[in-house]
Amino acid sequence: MSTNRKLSKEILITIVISAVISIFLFAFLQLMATSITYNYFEQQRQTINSYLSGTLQLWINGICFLASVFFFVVIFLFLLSQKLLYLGEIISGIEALRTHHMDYIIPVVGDNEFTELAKQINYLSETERQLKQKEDALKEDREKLIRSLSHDIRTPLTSILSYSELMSSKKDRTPKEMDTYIELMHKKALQIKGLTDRLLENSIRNPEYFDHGKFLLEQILLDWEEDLSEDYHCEIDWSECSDFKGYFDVQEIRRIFDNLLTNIQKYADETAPVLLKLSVLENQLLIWQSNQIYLPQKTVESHKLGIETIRSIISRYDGTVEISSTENTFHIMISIPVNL
Amino acid sequence: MNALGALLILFVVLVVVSFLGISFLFLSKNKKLQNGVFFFLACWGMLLSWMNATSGPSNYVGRQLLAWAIGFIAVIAMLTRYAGHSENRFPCSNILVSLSVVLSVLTMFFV
Repeated sequence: MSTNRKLSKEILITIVISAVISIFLFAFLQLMATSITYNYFEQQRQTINSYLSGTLQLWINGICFLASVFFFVVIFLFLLSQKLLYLGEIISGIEALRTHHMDYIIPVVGDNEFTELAKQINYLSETERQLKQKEDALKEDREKLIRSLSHDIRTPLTSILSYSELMSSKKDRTPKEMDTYIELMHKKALQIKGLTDRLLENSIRNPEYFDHGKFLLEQILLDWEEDLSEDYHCEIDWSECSDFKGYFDVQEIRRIFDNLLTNIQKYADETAPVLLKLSVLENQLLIWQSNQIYLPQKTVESHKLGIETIRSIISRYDGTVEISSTENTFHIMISIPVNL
Repeated sequence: MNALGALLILFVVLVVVSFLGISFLFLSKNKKLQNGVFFFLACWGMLLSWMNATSGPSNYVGRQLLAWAIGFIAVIAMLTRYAGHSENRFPCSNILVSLSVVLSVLTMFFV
């Protein structure tokens, strides 16, 4: 903290200025009063003796002294009030900040302790503003994550419900069928567990290196196709998809396809095939999915979370998502950088 | 030394001090020095106006008032500089105080 005591210096200067002006005013008043008085007596052709002259001078001096003292007080208070006006501005600023007008900035004027006070208050309010912004951003990120993971949990949960309904609806299932359903439900349950773990661990990514990225996709799309096969005819084109390498988080890749699946289940026309094409071109994995839109649309609420989740995941891979749709078709093109 | 000689010396001293003061006021880049020179020139202007007022005959009231009025220009310059809020107060007060000093010297010797 500065120990310069600039404010006391400024007040001292104010006193000196007021004193100088008061002395000047005293000199002016005293000399003019004396001059006018003696000129008056001369004009009236009156002579005054030394006693009267002395008394007159004393009175003039006394009155002029009182007047100059009065002027000194007035000028000093006036000059001081100009300094204290700034204090009023600082108090208004603090009041504004107290009533949550956090974007208020106290003007920084002069070079004394008040200026230092204004700067410190501005710094504190700026820090608080930034902290609040960071807090809001973190809160929003957290909420986004919860929303997107909750949305993504629905897909495997829906599958579990479907399989369990299937198991309970028909009693004469073979043990092999039951084992298959149980295995699938177990897989989906593990997926849900992975998503909830991510939610609790605050979205720690777990990318692994895959030498054979194509094999990973084939495994994921096997389940994907199976989930859709009951209601939709899927056509998956692997013709242009060569093998590729890269770092991938399996949960994230699975979530991409789960969200595509959810969108298909919500909006796709069951009478038209669902198309999926995977290709590798110039170090980019291209995933193109297309379907006809069911008209009239099913009355399901859309929060557009599925597409947003896909965009958010792809952005972590420095990839891109392009969507184009007409009145009755939907196309999505996902591009992810990979190594060949 | 005769009276005229003394007056000449006084004139030279007043002019040199006034000229140096006004030069430092306008040419100096150092703010502290500028403030100091300004304060000196304001007091100098008041002193010159007092000398002007008291140097003439006592029945020349009009001339005395003129001398004091020129001194008041220096007072206004001081108040402008130390009580004003505008950024223009510095050049304004410099001009006023210089005017006060120059007019005081001119009226003292040439009016």
